[in-house]
Amino acid sequence: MDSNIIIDLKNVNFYYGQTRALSNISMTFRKNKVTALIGPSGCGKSTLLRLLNRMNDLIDGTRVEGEILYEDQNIYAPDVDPVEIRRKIGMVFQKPNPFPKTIYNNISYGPKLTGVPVDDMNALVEQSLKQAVLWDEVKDILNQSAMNLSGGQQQRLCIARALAMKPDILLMDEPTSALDPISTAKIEELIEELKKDYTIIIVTHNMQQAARISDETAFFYLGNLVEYNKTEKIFTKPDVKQTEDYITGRFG
Amino acid sequence: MEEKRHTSSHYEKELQQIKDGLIYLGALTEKAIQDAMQALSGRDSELAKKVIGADDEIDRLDTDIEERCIKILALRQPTAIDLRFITTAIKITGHLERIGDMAVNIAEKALQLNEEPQLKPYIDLPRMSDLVGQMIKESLDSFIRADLNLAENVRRTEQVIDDLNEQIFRELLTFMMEDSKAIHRALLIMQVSKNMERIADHAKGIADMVTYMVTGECVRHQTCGIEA
Repeated sequence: MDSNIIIDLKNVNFYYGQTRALSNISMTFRKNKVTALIGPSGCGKSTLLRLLNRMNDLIDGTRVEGEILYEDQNIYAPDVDPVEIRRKIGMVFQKPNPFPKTIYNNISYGPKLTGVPVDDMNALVEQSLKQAVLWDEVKDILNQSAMNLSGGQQQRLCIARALAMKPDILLMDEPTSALDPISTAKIEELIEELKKDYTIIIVTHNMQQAARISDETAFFYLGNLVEYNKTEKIFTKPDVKQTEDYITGRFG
Repeated sequence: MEEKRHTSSHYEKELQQIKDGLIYLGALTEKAIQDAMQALSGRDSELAKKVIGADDEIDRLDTDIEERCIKILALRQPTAIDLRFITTAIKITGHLERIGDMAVNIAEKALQLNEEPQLKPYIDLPRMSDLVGQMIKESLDSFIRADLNLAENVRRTEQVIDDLNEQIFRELLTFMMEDSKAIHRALLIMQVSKNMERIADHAKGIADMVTYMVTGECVRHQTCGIEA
């Protein structure tokens, strides 16, 4: 596999019961890039995102066909531990969901639980919060409840929590849809910074957000990958008419 | 290919208003050129003054269309074909406004030439005027219909105008060499011809932008598409 590629999907089909939610998806995700998944509701983009760290395993009656290679290893192979996959491929959700614990414990909880040897938990907490550009705002209140933080701060805390697990990839499912413009701008700025060290795959309904922050954009429609191209190309002269109709807001 | 309509009918209407504005502006500039030429060949100084006065409306429309485009950029954040349409429209209105200025230049020369005996019968200039009028019309039609063939046609006609300008230049040189009293009038006529040639350049500029709008490719310069 090309060393710039971190995830490689080969003919992936996904079913909720009898319903096929993704049809024959083949695509690759590149290291240290931001890839945006866009498309109307129900197009399969969030399903695809959740497939990448086996979150769909938690839903009964689902079935995956094809291969999803993460660094040459099929993450759906029987001997693969999904918990280990989720450690390497972290996820940030639409609504900030901090644990009802202190800010400090929100960060330290995961590393402790998965038994990752942490010589210096304080250093890990500080480093994670700094990476999520939250440290300056919370360094004096680490023992206060995370629930007292603002929505934007909570979301950055969730990013810091994911980073504390030292993942390779961050999956983000509409991470700013519940945030105000300033908090959104902070998260977007953060994403730009994080891509130096991580690969980021983001689902967004905000077209301008995809245009602003991603290097590559994939457009999904009815479970099919319609177009996957450089973001600049998608938003100036997409190759496929259906993509153009969608991003310019024309009747589907 | 027929475009699908936007989900937002207001947005659809705003884009249509820009199209309508450009068609109207194009019609005004075509008429300005026609009238300026008629003022010259028909020695009608009143008509020349009307052309000069009518330029204010062209300028006003240009500003209006540009403001509408900027408003869409700011408020709608257009992408893909809409983005290419808006950037093309901003350029086209600029070209049309300059064409209006060229028509004023021609009218001003007509005023001066009409004060003196006619140097020669005007044959090639009205031909140029008809051709550039047709170029403006075709360039705008190519924009409205996203028609690459029409745009290409405009580019071809520009070469004919260049040749006519050269020919007029050579002819006027002979007049100047024969009679020094003809120099002033000959220079004025040369400027009229040069203005026609500039109008053709602007029409070609519009056609080039239409090609960009349809294909996403830049064809304005020979260096377009060559990686730096």
